[in-house]
Amino acid sequence: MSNNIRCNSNSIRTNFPIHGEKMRVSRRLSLLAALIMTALLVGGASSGTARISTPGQEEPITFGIVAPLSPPGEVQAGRQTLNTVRMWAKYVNARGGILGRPVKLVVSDSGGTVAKAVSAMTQRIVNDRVCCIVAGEDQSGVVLAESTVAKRYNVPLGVDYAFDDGITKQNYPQVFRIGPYNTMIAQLFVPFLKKFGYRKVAIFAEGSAYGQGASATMKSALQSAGGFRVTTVQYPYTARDFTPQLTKLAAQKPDAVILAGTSTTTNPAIVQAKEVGLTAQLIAAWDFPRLPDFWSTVGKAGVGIIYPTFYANTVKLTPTGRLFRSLYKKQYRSLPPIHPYLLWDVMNAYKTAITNADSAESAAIVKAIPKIKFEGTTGQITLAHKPGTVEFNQWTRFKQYFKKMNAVGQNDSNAKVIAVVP
Amino acid sequence: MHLFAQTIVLGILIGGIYSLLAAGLTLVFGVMRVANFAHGALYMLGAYAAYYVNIRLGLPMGIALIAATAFGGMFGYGISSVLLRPVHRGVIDQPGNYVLIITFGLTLLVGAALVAIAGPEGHSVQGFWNTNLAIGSWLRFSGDRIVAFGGAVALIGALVWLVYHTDIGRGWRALTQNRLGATVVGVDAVRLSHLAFATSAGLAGAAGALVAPLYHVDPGIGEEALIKSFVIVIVAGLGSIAGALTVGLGLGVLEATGSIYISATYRDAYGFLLMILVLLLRPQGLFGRRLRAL
Repeated sequence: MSNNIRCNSNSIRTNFPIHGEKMRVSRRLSLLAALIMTALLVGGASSGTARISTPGQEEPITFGIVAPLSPPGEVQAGRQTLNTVRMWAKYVNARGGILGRPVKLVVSDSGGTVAKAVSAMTQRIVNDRVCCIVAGEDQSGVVLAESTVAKRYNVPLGVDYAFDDGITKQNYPQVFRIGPYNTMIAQLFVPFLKKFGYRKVAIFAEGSAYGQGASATMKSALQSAGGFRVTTVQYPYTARDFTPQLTKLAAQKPDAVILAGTSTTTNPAIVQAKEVGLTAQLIAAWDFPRLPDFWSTVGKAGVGIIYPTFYANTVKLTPTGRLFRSLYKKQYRSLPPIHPYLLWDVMNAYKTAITNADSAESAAIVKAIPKIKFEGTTGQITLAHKPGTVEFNQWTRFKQYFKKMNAVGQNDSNAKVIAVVP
Repeated sequence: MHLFAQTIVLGILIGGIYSLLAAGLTLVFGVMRVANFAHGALYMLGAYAAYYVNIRLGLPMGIALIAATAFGGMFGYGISSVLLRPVHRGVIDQPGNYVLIITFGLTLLVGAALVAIAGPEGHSVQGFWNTNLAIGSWLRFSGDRIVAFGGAVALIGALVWLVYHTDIGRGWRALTQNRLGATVVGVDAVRLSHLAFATSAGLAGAAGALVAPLYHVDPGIGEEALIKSFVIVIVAGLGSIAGALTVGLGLGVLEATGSIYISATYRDAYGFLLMILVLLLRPQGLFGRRLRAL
């Protein structure tokens, strides 16, 4: 066979030297393209997927974790997700697993993009037959797409730190959230802004699902409350230069500017706000100033920023919460921020649902989720069920803590709490 | 009036960087007749090189700028002499497609490598002139922005001198006008193509280092740079350096004024709208005729 090919190739070259050369190169080009595609596919699959399991005689219960582990996803959130679920699996397996079966994690990289996340989630469901999916994601647009996959395959999807209302407002029985949502965050902003006298408010929002959702709910909440003058400025999420938009805001002289975007865009915006002379109080729409790269990218421009979060040192933890905090501190030598607490609760929600259903079948877990009741890290967890609203398979008992960074290098645990709502 | 002045100044300052990026891209197109989709990756490499020299090695940003330019140039020379060798040898049926695949693949590779080496987080550098300036109470910009603009102007000036006052530049212009004719009269097309690619990559690397203090360094910065460069090159006319300079500045001003006086939401759309209009009304680009006189 190979002789034939060689023979043909030679004859082409002999008869049509120039054309034959081009054909060879053209074939080489096709091969090169195929190789690149194969390498990308194989590379993507191998780098994005990791398996963690504990050997046991019983068939393991497999959880699919889809988290942003590469850009443009919020990689730091992805790493926290991975750290927390691994710690949870280790803890549960050391205590006999669930229903006597060990827990296995199948981790996939969403890259913070819809296409990659949907593909990864479908593969985990179809190929790995996972019982349930954990959306270790803070990009609401990605989670919204994942929720349609969950519905199609009737596989439960647990969410903790993606805020878009639509995630639970769709009322898919497969989707539940033990975490905050935009309308609630916005409503809790109102008393805080009133208390500090910030009446002329500008919302500086990223053109992503999160940014658009957050700015819309914030604007709606402030206008409904009355007494506020609200303007919204949106920017593309790929942008890095915000000086024209910020110049416009500076000219409007707002009392406060609420930054609703991912840290990739908000951090340079904070520096550029100082550059164009924007003197308004900067308020993060979510707690990105607690992320590790905040100070290394914004420097002294970040001093004075206010951000909302859902955990403070004064929170009274349950025994489960205290246990989690000590495990986390022992493992990672730092105190956990709020996201891992909520994720720990999501994992325990799955454990409770599987135990109650006495089954690790996806359909049985979906049926059991609305009735779960267990001790979470900060209180008793039950899910609200108000059909047609965002409070569907949604935990609603949050307090919002407003913290202020008063010096370069401060972190979430030593930032000053300036208000608690409600 | 104050706001208008601030808008125009900011537009010109960012436009200078756009021009520098587009000048390199159009040089490669003019000389080699191929579109380099790795231009954004080369810009990103320059920014990371500056970060490593400035933060990891602790050297001043001036040194970091030189290092980023040199690194970009050497990397570009490597791409041209190794990966684009079949194009230079003329043994490719469709060199445009070949270069597209190679440079697009290279963009993915560089992005993944930088994440693996430097991590996915954003990084900042110390800056060239780390201060915020104000003229009166109405014109505000950072010292780093002035340095970035000044550096871009100086590098563009150097490129123009190279193109119009050296043998290399004469060779490039000859290749742009008629590649076969230039080769017949003894112009070394392969060597000059390598040099054009290296120069373009060096300029992209320099642009990355110049803006690193302004935008931070992260694995997503190349995307916007690539898009802006292509918009400018298409509007100006493929291969026109003078056009790239003019349109680059114009795009900066257009985006700034559009963002402030129409809507900031459509900042990227203003450039695309201009590009669509130009393609419909003058497909060769605004400076398309001058393309032949590179």
